[in-house]
Amino acid sequence: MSLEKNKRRQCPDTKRSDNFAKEESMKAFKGAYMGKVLRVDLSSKKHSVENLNEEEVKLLLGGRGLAAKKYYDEISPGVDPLGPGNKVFFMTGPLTGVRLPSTTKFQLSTKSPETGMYLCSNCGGEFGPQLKRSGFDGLIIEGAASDWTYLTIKDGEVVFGDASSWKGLDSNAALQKLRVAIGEKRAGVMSIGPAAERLVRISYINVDTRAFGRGGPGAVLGSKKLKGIAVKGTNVIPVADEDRVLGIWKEAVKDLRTSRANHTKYGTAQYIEAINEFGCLPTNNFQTTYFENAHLVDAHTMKEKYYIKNYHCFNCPVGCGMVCEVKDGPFKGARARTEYETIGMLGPDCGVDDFGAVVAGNELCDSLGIDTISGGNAVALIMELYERGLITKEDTDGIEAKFGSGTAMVELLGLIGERRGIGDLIAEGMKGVLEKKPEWSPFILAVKGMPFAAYDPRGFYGNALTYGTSSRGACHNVGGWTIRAELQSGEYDRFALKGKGLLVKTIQDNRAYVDSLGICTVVRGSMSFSDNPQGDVLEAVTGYDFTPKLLEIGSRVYTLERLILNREGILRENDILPERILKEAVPSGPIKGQVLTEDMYNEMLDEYYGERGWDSNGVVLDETVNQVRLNEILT
Amino acid sequence: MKTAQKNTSAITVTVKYLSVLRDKTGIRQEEVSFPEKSVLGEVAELVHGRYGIKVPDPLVMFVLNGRGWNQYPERLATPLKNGDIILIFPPVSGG
Repeated sequence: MSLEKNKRRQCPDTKRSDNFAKEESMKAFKGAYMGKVLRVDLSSKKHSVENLNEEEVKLLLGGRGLAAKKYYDEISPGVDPLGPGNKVFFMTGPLTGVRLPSTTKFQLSTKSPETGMYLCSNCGGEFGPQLKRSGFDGLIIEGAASDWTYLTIKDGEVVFGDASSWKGLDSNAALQKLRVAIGEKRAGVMSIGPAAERLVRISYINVDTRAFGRGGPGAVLGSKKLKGIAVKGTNVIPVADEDRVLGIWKEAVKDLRTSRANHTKYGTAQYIEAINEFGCLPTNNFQTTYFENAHLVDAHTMKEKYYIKNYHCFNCPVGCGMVCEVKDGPFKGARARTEYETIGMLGPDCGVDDFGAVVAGNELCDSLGIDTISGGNAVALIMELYERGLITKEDTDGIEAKFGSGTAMVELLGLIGERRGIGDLIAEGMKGVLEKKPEWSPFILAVKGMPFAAYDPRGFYGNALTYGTSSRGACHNVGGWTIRAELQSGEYDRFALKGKGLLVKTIQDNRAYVDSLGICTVVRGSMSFSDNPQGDVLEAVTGYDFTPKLLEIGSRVYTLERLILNREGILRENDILPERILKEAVPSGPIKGQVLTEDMYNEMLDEYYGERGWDSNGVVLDETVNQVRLNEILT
Repeated sequence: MKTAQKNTSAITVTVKYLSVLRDKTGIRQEEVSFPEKSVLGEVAELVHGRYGIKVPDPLVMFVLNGRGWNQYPERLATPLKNGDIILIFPPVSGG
């Protein structure tokens, strides 16, 4: 679709209705969907209910697909992410809350304060299932409150509460306040911390101690003076075939006990050692890719010295969350649930080999309410600038910001979350930093303003394409996690260029439909939600024959997101990787000397655009819109 | 299983075990010597014989010098050389 044609599409005002939606609007489905979306206007303190659109659900499934459609319809390119015109769309998927493994997930879409463009985000916890049980497949937050507010939603009843005395509370304390406010210990709750109140552009939304982490959605709620939301429902989520669903649950749980035993034992921390052995573990702000002391922050160290217990998301038999506590030393008492990304970015990427410091940094991020991946990137940037003499102790509020210092890493996170010293600039996100300090570009590892995850793309070329083409900036999830395929494929290896375009597209489409389902990616294999989906899970739950169409749906969702990005001005030039990756060879470690040049990257990007049906400038072609049938639902 | 023999022409490789597979072997890594002209399949045999870990297997990644075993044209018949590093670990699944 041409850019001009895309920009001429309208973002019509939403029709408002104070009447409850008619339940007959979703006749094609015998289960899974409640058929309604709750819209809350913080400016007027009014709410309304609208129907899900059956045709949209057939084509976009739910979750990420429907959240993208809402964004497409209602957020125009000029909207300020931190202005009252921005909205937050929360959408569950058909499997959210159903009695199957890890049906915990729901999605968010909004305009990101960190990147200034479309953001999709995926999160677990109780909130999604409780939202559905309260009668709604989705929740839309719009406008802005005049004073600090919280919401409670209980079986469809909406109450606006006064949160003025909660200002400054850390996000976990706010979650507890919300449970008390709604009068339910097991409510779904989401909150923001003080960083989001300060509009720190990398602040996150805490959801039952899981997170909408990336892209700064916390700051969107902060700009709306919405401190948190609690939801509780008692409705039964209908399914088409209860007996079959129970059978699937039993089969899947049995499978997961074997196939995910490693996740139950070690969580995602187990990847630290593997990724390091491949020479792809970001070290000292991606200056190199092998961390000599990785064994001090790996899963075995975690388990022996810091592990307390597993954490299970809603309905999840795997329990890959590893709750850790520091038992002695300078960070004694710190407690957090450390994931691979957090360890990678607060540990080796800051040169830190003290797992206790990583836990303490994680805890502080949770308390302030900032994303650990963007936070770690930001700290590593400060450290590199400091070591190069480009900033001084005056900028760092007296902190000796050197790589390897766990104390400095933790203190610098505080600087950013509290907007002190150079933290005030860094809190604007990498896009904001580049606008003020373009000369720092060689030290910034981000695409479209979203910082890298804990994989150096010079070690897996498919991963490079992932970062460049992800719908929300350099994200390993949305952009497609290619590492396993690049190790197992008999057609090419991780340093091949040919074939990576199709690989990344396939993985992205797979992920896009999984994000639209409402389940966690860790369990998807147990229900055959692969890049060749099989089985009858969706038919048993919804009564609709979705499975043969899942990859098409994924492709449709991804194309819709690219239409949004094109409309917001995103083109090929924005899909390019940062200087450090395309100009510097890896200086040491298992892949010493490895280079990924701009020509090599462009070769993969051209193949990818061809597979996607986009032109050479990264614009979606009209025929692609028709081919993926978006023309049937876009006005 | 061929027993690794020490001789002046032996090839020495390092085998590393990660995650739950380290629990199974009880060791982080080991240096193993093979006769000249040994191939990757002999590492698989040794690992299976010593620890009961079947490689290749859908639930076990088997990687030689940073590439999957099936990414070498000769696959399990790939000749070993001194200093090779073999990684054995459960399937990674990230994101």
